[in-house]
Amino acid sequence: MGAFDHAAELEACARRDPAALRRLYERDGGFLMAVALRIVRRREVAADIVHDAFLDIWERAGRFDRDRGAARAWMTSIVRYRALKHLRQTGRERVFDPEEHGRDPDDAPDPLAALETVQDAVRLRECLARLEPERRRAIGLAYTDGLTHAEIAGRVGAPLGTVKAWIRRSLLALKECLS
Amino acid sequence: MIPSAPHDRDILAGEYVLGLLDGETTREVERALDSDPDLRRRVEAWEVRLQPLSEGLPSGAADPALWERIERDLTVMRYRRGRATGSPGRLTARAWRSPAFWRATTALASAAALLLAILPVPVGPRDDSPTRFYALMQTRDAAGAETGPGWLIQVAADGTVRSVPLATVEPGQGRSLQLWTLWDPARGPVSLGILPPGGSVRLPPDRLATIGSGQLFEITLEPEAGSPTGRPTGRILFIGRASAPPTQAL
Repeated sequence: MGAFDHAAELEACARRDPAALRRLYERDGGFLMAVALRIVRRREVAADIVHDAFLDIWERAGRFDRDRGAARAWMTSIVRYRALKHLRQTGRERVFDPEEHGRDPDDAPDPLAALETVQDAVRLRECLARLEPERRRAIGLAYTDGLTHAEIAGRVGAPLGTVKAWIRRSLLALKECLS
Repeated sequence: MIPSAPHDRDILAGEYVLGLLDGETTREVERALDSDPDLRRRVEAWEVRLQPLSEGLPSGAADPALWERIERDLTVMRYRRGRATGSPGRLTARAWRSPAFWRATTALASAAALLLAILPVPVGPRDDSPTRFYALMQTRDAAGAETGPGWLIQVAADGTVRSVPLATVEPGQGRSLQLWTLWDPARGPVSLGILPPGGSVRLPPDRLATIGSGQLFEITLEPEAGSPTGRPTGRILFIGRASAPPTQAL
């Protein structure tokens, strides 16, 4: 897997080589679809987001700097911000749908469980493991599901102010642990 | 307001990446990212730190149909970019910037017959051959909406089909633009050939005889050698109907 050089493909996009964008899509289109789908929950909306994100990636490839960041994280962020923006603009119809949750009990697993299969996640896993389980879950609900503070409070059954404080403290703890 | 204490900036950056800021604060951070390299570094650091959480999501293979859509719109986007910046030295680009051209194009929307009297048509094989039909084709976006004139097709009496892109169009590596016409809905679109950029194609006489006023023309994005199936396989990039020129000289 190490043979695929995301940064080199982004640099080729910056040189206006559409074949490089295609290689990035073939490599990561399915993954980025999963990222978007988890947040917006509707396949056709997620497809629109991935579509727009790839046009964004093409447009902004010239601003990607391999010295500054990881290419895959850069692409993931473009998709996530678009998906989050969509959610905030249109409101969320599905997350609070009890019927939906009835069918999907494993909607928000502990991030530790999700990270078990991920390579290169050892440090994040270790650092998340040091957080209280509900705080860890709050981070996961925000990052992967795109939930707001209020939605997280509803999901974990904690007061809004408490959730906000959890997130802030968890961020500082994670930063310290990871650096 | 963007805080100045490092801890507060890290929390703000982390909350931004988690998507937890309200709309106004999100926009404030987005604006600050352009001018505040320190904040940008903190945001990028969170994007990288938290990335493994995305990697745990179950994902399948990339959908080829979605790539088709991306590629088509990439082509249209690059085409528009070419139109916006112009391409000095290209006749079509000069035509695009010419007020006479714009007046002609605008008039065409209601009175297509005026076109050949005004438009500086680029060189074709036989400029003296009378025009039988032309079609001002509209650019189509991915949603199928028409977004303005994008291509001009002129069919001369000698069978030459002049194809005039109204700006630079790059189909992308390994791709071609293919011209089709629909003369018999029962039969479906018939290929008139691959379009060289700004060039012409010549129709066999039997095809020419089939072109009539109101007939539909379209340009689709196809593999380099043209559609392998003999029918359009890519999305329609440009579409328009043939009109006959005025029967008497202007």
